[in-house]
Amino acid sequence: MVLRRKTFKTNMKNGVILLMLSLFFTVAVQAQQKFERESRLKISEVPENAKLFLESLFSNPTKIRWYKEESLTGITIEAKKKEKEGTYSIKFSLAGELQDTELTQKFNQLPPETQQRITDHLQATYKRAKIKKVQLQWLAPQEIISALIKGKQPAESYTTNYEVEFSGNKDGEVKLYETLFDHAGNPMETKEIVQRNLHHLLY
Amino acid sequence: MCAQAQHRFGIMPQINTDFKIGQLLKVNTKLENRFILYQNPIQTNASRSEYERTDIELIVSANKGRLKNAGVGYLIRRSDNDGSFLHRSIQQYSFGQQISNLQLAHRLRTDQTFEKQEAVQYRVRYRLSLEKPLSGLKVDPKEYYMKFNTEVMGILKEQKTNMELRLLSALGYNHSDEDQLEIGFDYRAEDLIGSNTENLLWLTVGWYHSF
Repeated sequence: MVLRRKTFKTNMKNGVILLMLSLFFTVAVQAQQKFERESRLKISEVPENAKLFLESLFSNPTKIRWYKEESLTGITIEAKKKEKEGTYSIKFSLAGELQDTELTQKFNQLPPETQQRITDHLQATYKRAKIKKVQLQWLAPQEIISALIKGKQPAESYTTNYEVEFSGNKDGEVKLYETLFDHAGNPMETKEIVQRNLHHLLY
Repeated sequence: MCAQAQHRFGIMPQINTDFKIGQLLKVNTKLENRFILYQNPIQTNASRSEYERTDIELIVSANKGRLKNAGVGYLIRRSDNDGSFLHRSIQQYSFGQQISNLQLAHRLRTDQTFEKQEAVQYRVRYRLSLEKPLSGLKVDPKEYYMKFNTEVMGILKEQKTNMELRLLSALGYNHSDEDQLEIGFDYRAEDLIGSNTENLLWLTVGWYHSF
C-alpha cells in the first residue's frame, strides 16, 4: 500500500513537470484578420425580391442554400444552387438587389483563346501553377441573367469575366491565389487566399 | 512489458502547440496523458482506474520548398506499468485538401519504437481527417465544426505483423485561426490479427494552439 502511494505521488509530480515543460513556450498571440465570413440564412431571413428571382430561375427552389457573407467590402446575401451545368452562386445586396452571378466551370469549357491567354499569364508569372477552380462571372441585370441561366442568348450586351483559383509557386513558396480575368483572358485583379492553419488536422 | 487489459475506457487530455522557426521550418509539440477510468479484466497489481501514461512528441516539418509538409520527429513516453521510458522516431508527410465545404487532411507516418528489452517495433500509418463546418461554408473564428479521423496502421515486430484501427469523432470550437478546442471519442482496436484484439475507448479533450 505504501509503495503504491509513493508511486502515485511520483507520477503526479512527473505529470506536473511534463505539463509545465509543454507550456514553457506559452505566449499570447493576436489572431489574424479574417477576410470573409459566411453564415447560413433561413429562408425567412432572405429579402423577398431575391427569393422570388431565384424561384423564377430554378424548378426546385427548396434546394437553394442561402448564406450571409461578411467581407471587407460589406455584407451580401448569397444563394447557391447545384444544377447539371455547375453550381450557381448568385449574390444580392441586403435589400435584395442582384450584384453578381457566378457559375462553376471546367477550365476546358472556356473559349480556346481565353484558355491560352490565361495559361500564358500563369506560366509567365508563377512556377508550376495549378488551377483548382474556375468560375464564370456574369455582370448584368436580372432579365439578362435569367435568359442566360435558361440557356437563351440575350440580345443586350453583358459582361463576362472568369475567376480562377490556383496554386502558384512564387519565390520558392507555394500559395493559393484568385485572379479575375476578363472575357478575353486578360488578368484584372489578383488576391492571395489566406490559408487556414490546419494543425488540428495535420498532426 | 506488462500485459494490459483487453477493454479499457478512459480520458485522454492533450495539448498541441506549433510555431515557426524562420520561414523554412515548423515545429509541432504535443503533450498527451492517458488515465484509465475502467478496465476489464483487471491485471495483477492494477486497479480498475489508474494513470496509464504520458507522451511528449515533437515533429519538425519543412514549411516551404521541395520538402514542404515532410517532417521528422521524436516521441518519449513514460508508462506507469514499470516507470520505464519508450522512445520513438517518426517520419511524416501530411497535406490538406478542400472538397466543396469539407476540409480533408492526409497524414502518412512511419515510426520506429525502441524499448528496453524489447525488439524494435516498426509501423506504417495512414490517417484521413475530415472537418465539416457546422455553420456556413467554411470554419470561421468563433464557429463549431465536426472532426472525424480514420487511421489504419500496419505493425511489424519480431517478424510478426499486426494491424490497428483508430476512429475519432469530435466536436471542435474554432476560437480563432490560432486556437481550437476539441472534445470527442477516440476508439482504437489494437492487435486486430489474432484473438487478443484490445478495445480502447478514450474521451479525448484537445487544445490546439499556434504561436
